[in-house]
Amino acid sequence: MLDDRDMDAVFQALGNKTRRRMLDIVKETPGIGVGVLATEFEVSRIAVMKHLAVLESANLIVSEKDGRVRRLYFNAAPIQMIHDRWTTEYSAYWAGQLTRIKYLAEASRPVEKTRKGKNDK
Amino acid sequence: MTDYAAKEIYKVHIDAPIETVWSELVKTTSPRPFFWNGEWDTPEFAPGNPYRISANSGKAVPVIGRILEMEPPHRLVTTFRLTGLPDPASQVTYLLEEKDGGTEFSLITERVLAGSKSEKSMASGSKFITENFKAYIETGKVTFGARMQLAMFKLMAPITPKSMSADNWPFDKAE
Repeated sequence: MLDDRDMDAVFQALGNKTRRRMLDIVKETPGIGVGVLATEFEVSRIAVMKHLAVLESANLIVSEKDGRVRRLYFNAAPIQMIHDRWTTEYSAYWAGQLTRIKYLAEASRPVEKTRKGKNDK
Repeated sequence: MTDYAAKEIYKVHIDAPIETVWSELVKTTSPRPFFWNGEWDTPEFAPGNPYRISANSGKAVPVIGRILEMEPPHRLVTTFRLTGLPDPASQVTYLLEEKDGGTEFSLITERVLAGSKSEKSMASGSKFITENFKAYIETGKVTFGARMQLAMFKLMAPITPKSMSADNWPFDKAE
């Protein structure tokens, strides 16, 4: 179980649109380099580094040095622990079914609203 | 060319000294609740040796592999094959680092066949192991959800698939 301090760090890290997008990208692209990730954002590289530091201190992102590149990985463990704190196996099943219906319904909507936001400032 | 899934890292901070975390990880004398009550079974816990994770009092072998590297109390690298699935062995690394008076524990999966059942199974399994390893060391028991799951496994022991039977998995089958 995460203690309160760890949990505060996770929620604080997730409470920002840019950081959530960073997590999306890192999760989709395990091992992505910091430089490549930074090109996905319009903010300065320094701002990207600051966001990354927040995500790393919350343990949501783990980094590894690979020569001169710092590679990033999404760490599912903290979110898993938060999930398990409030969800039993039984409720997880039904919540899973409901989310599936929600995603199916949304996927069948007209495409004008894509989820790719074009600016992230 | 084999198409491998990208490497995945699962990491938790464990509030215990690194020596404690290491010795709980590699303890061979009792079932490991964070490995679904599996037990390490190896002629010798040292690089080059095969190992099995045995279950149901030794009647089943859900995992077989070989110990590639071992640097107590920091690093254990193994090959890892799920006997219940037809996929080839992948690589699992357990890393321990001292931090803030505790230990950072990482489980790293590599060389997992992309799109395979093993990939799915190892992704959910890795979450189970890291979360419950932390809970077990800090509180003496695994999470509530895990205890439910272990109880169910115990009930299902008599119907364990034949493919996992210990007779089918002697040490020389380790890759």
